[in-house]
Amino acid sequence: MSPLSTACLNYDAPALTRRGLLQGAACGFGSLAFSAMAARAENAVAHHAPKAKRVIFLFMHGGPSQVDTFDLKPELQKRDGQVMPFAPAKNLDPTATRQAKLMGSPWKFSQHGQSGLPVSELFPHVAKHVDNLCVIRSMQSKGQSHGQAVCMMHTGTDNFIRPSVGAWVNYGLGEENSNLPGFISISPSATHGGPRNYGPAFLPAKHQATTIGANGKLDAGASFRFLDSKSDAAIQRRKLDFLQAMNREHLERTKHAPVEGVIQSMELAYKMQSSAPPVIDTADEPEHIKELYGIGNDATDTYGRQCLLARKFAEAGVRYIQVSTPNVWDQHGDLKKGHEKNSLAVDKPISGLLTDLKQRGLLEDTLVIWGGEFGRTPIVQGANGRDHNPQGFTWWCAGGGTKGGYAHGETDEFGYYAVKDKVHMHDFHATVLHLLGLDHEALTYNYAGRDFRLTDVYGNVVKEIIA
Amino acid sequence: MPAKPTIGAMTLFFVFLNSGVLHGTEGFGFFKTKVEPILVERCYECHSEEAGKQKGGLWLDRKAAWQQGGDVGPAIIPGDVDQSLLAHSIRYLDEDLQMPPKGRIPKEEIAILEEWIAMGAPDPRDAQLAGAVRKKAIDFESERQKWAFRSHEGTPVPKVKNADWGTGAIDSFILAELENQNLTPTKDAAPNALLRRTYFDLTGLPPTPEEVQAFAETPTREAFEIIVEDLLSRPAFGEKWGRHWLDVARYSDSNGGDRNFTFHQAWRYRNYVIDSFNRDRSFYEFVSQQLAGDLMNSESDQERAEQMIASGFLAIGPKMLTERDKEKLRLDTADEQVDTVGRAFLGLTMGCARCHDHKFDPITQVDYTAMAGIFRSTQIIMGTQNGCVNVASWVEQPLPGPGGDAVKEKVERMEMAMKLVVDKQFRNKAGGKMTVDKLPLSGVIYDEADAEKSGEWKTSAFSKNRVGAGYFHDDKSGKGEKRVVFRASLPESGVYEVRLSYNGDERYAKNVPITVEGWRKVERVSLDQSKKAEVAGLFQPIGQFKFEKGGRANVIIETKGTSGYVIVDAIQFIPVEEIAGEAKALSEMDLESDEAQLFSMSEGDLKKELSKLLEELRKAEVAMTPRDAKDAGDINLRVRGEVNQLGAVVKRSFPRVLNPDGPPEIPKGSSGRLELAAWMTSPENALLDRVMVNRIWHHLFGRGIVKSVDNFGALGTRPTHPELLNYLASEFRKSEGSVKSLVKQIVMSRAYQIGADADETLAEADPKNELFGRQNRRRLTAEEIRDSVLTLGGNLSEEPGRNTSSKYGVDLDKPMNFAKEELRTVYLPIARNNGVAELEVFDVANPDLVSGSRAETTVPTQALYLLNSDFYKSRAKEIGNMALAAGENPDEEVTWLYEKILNRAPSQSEVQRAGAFIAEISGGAESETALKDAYGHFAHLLLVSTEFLFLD
Repeated sequence: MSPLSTACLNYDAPALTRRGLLQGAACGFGSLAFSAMAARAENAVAHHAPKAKRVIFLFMHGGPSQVDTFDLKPELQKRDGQVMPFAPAKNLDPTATRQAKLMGSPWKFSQHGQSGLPVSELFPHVAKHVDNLCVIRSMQSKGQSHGQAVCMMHTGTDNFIRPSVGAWVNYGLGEENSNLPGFISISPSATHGGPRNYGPAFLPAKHQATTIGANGKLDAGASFRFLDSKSDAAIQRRKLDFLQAMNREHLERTKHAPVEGVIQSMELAYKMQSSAPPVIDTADEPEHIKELYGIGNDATDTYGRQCLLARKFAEAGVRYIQVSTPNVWDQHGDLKKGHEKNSLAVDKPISGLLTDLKQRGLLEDTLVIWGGEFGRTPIVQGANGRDHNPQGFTWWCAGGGTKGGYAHGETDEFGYYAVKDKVHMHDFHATVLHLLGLDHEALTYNYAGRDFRLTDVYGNVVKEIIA
Repeated sequence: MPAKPTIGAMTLFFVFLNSGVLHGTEGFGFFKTKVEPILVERCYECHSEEAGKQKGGLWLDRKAAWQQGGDVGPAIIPGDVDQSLLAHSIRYLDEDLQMPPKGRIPKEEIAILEEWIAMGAPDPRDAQLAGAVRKKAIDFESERQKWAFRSHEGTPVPKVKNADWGTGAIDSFILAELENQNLTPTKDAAPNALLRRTYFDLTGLPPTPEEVQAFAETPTREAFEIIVEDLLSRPAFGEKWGRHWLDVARYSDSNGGDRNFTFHQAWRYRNYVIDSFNRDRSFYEFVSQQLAGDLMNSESDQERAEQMIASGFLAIGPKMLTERDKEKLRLDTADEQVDTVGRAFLGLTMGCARCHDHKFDPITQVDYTAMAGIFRSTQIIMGTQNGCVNVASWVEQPLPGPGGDAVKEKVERMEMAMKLVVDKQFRNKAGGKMTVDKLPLSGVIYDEADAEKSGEWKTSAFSKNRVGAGYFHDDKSGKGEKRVVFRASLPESGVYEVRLSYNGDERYAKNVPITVEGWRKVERVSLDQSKKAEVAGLFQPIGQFKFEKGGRANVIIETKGTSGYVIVDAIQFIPVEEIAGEAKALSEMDLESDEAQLFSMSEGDLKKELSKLLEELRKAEVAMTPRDAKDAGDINLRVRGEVNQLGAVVKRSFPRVLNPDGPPEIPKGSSGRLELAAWMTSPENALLDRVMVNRIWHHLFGRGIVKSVDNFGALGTRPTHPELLNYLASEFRKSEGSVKSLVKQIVMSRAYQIGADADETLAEADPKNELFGRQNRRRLTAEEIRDSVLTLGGNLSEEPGRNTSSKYGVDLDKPMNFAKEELRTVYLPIARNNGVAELEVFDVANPDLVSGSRAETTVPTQALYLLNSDFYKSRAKEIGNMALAAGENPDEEVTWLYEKILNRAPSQSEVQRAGAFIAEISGGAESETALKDAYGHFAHLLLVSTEFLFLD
């Protein structure tokens, strides 16, 4: 057994003996692969019955404003232009700190659905789904700058190197479909930590996200790395057969389990090569579905194709799918223009995704999450912008066992600080794992001598948002 | 449990004395009826013995508990609401300290608690503090006796039954353990397998077929020793073993963190490491230079340059350069260094003790702080990288040598440009104005227009010695009614000197009352405006005050009790550490000088100048060399690791479990790194030796004697051969830290040279090979795979690479393509957060972490890469064509490929099978293209076969 076979220093692969090998060989080589190929068997244990089987995270990079979208603040409107009567957070732009002038939202809110939850006119399509939304208005996070906050949101820490949420989920649950990666990030940003935000850190490398597209863009024909669907299939198969014959001889000579792992992975790669392209290719989707996501319309085409791809991945059994906008929500100035453009680009695609998941019966066990790395200040920055605000902001969930048509928590009368039923990012992470059937305190990985977990020493499951 | 209070209108209008202290039954009554119910309802859940919780170390269920307080000190200062943490936290003023954490309590309840504190916090609950509150102390003396922490000890070489088997001490240690279990080691490796293993282990490259054949003909110990000596002397040795150290040193050519700036100078450190292994530099010198090279004495420019470059070890870590809180940035950077130094040199996870005492190892938060103080006293971070105040840069220093002075001037100019651009942005951001831009004034300046006036003030521009367009004066009237308030907001927390500007004149008031309101303190001073101001004849210091970033920073100028004119012109807040620099700049004011030119530039021009200078310095002889910080000194422990939660000051020192002598003498103004280097490498510190010899063993056997190579603590693995570890550590110390000697000693042992197969007895008795009764197979590393494929095709360059990262621009966020590169992989840039696919997929070390041991994972992406990448396909085709040229017929050609790629001859059936494959793929065609393609495919198969990818 190679002592190098695992990233975890204290993890020992099951012992392999000659007798065991021969038994394994008698039932085919498959039984040998477990130690080298997949930690799946020993991890894929849910701690309790899951409500959700997979996650689609719609990441609004840059930080959308809560008071202009889902957190209506009449007092803010009323006192537009006045000085906020309490101190703003430290670490802000000192100008804002000195002036601290409130800026009302330039958009109207109206009530929607049976629940009557208010949504601003920035999200007319998403508003139609409001009875499916679980709006958390009391989010809090750490990190006043993008780098820290983006990292905090993805990995549960603002300054250390830790596995990302998707990697933890993949590690905890294993793949649902072994011909596809369990964690896929669509068009992730290269900035603000880049791959660290979908990386495995010290978890085994297989748990990192496979990416498709980059920086909010998804080119036509985008695919996974190293997939080759162009070469002559017959030659490919012939070569693989020859190679596998050689490798099996090598395995018989050496009885070395990782060799078996390579043999398995070669076969899997070959299968992926044929099973992935149909999932990735959205061209064959019917027109009315494309229409639903706003595909073909300039403003919504990009995010629409990303969302459609997310649905296809969800349908194919991918555990954790992230769909990122480019870093566009950061309106330090020109709030009106920026937020209008950004919400236009995502509103219809997101609404399409929710409709489509619903009509396929997928929303029930798919947890859809919407949010940015932080919200924005109700006080003005410059002439017409808002600064970063991790002190209180809004995220929403849909499906996956969350309560629909429900609002949780509150910010103060202006929407600055979360003040009631605060949900820290750690709490949110704990809740996501809980919905997936994982106990955030029990999902640990031993690295460099200690057990790590996504929520470190923090996190309380927010029971109130669970249906 | 007391009933929940009803808060009615009565409470709201309840008027109390808000000064003076209430005692006796009246106060107790108020406590019982009003206060206690709130505490029970809102706080006991986390802060009472009954609930079994003591969050933050605080109980609120008895008087003695809040008097002692939690981790951050007393919760209540009786009579002083503003100074009481309890009041502070329930007011939700501070995002780091908000209680109760779930949500703010009603205003009415806050008012009651404030009233109670103002009353003197009468509290009849007289329960004692339990003894259990005290922490358990570590017994360092007994900890020092544990295996990892002991000093060097003599270790007798054990006797073995089969004295003929071994060749030296190492073999005796290994064999003795096997014999204890009645086991015998496996038989020697086949000569070609041994040679292949040794070549890759020592140089990362395969042997040639000729080298394999020569050794196979005379596989003697003498012949092997000559080969080992030869391999140790090749530059490839340093390239292979330097890479091992670069994994530990979390080497990268970019910052990662949030902004992925290119470290244009990091390559110098990389090449220094490679060179050190090739020259067999003493390990102790190697360690010292990395910790404190910039501070060491040198005898030549070359030595000085090496030392400076070596200390770049401290600078190449990942940093959050956009952190807005500069103190947090410094502490986070220091933390990264404590953690790296702890793991790399000592195998200790010291970083775990940042927020609390280490849970398992004898390292306390005090030990952590003592080390962090050394690194916080070391300057790595400064200025700005891209002209934006929120994006910090790092220190680079000119290397000695010809032209060094010119570079030095340029570096100084760049640093000044950075400082000025930062200053200007601070001023702008703080809302202050500055119209005497030609004066090199630091800090933040507000002009009179920024002030809030009450009463009638006259505007004047009579005196030319002023800031901005004009100034105010009170016209010597309405004394006592007029006042001016400057509300500042400072960009960083710290101590500032506050100065007022005016043109001193005897007609002016001699006793202007001034009030300075800091974050938690209000101070009053008196100013004599009849005298000339001390700084540049314009600004008069009135004292030094502490302010918090974004917190209250008000200066109030009044007229009460004055008789002369009271002047209000401008106000300056200068960080105390910048006073000396400003004074120097002011004294050297010379409008002709380059510096003065910088001072008079606009922000936009400064930014342009800065990027020009940065661009020029990228190609200059500079290194990422840290320096001792101007404010070097001991630091406060940080409660729960939070930057703003100060505990006691801790003297800089080394982990007590390894250092019984107490804190070192650190000269004033020094960081303590020289002392750290001396202590780290002293012969008493056997842990340094144990950790390093274990790393070397790990690389030659695939597993360390201590398997957890970066963790020798309680949660690491125990050594399988503790005596052998001690023996090797002592030998290493005796050899003065010669890595080559140790590598040779190990490689010449029989334990190294045995095969990787185990017979059934051995395999069953020792399935994990804990006893080293056989060698461990390993997969080739990412670098070995790439370098081998290149060398087999005759394409690998023998030149060392230099600044290979520079061509990718100012940050390494864009994909890098190595397809056309022919340098050894170790010389290619490594970007944090932007790994190159073909390397990352084969588990190269993550440059964010100390990685003494790489993972060996198996994922389908590897297979996809091996089968589909253009690199593999095109190189394989070249090698296939070489076979066609080298052989006369298919048998020879296939044999040539087997010997070249797998270092062995094929069997007859393998030759036949290969021939059939080639014939089938080429369609039996005579066409040369088809044949070349077929050979390419066949070479490709050998290159991705498990036999090629794994070493026996």
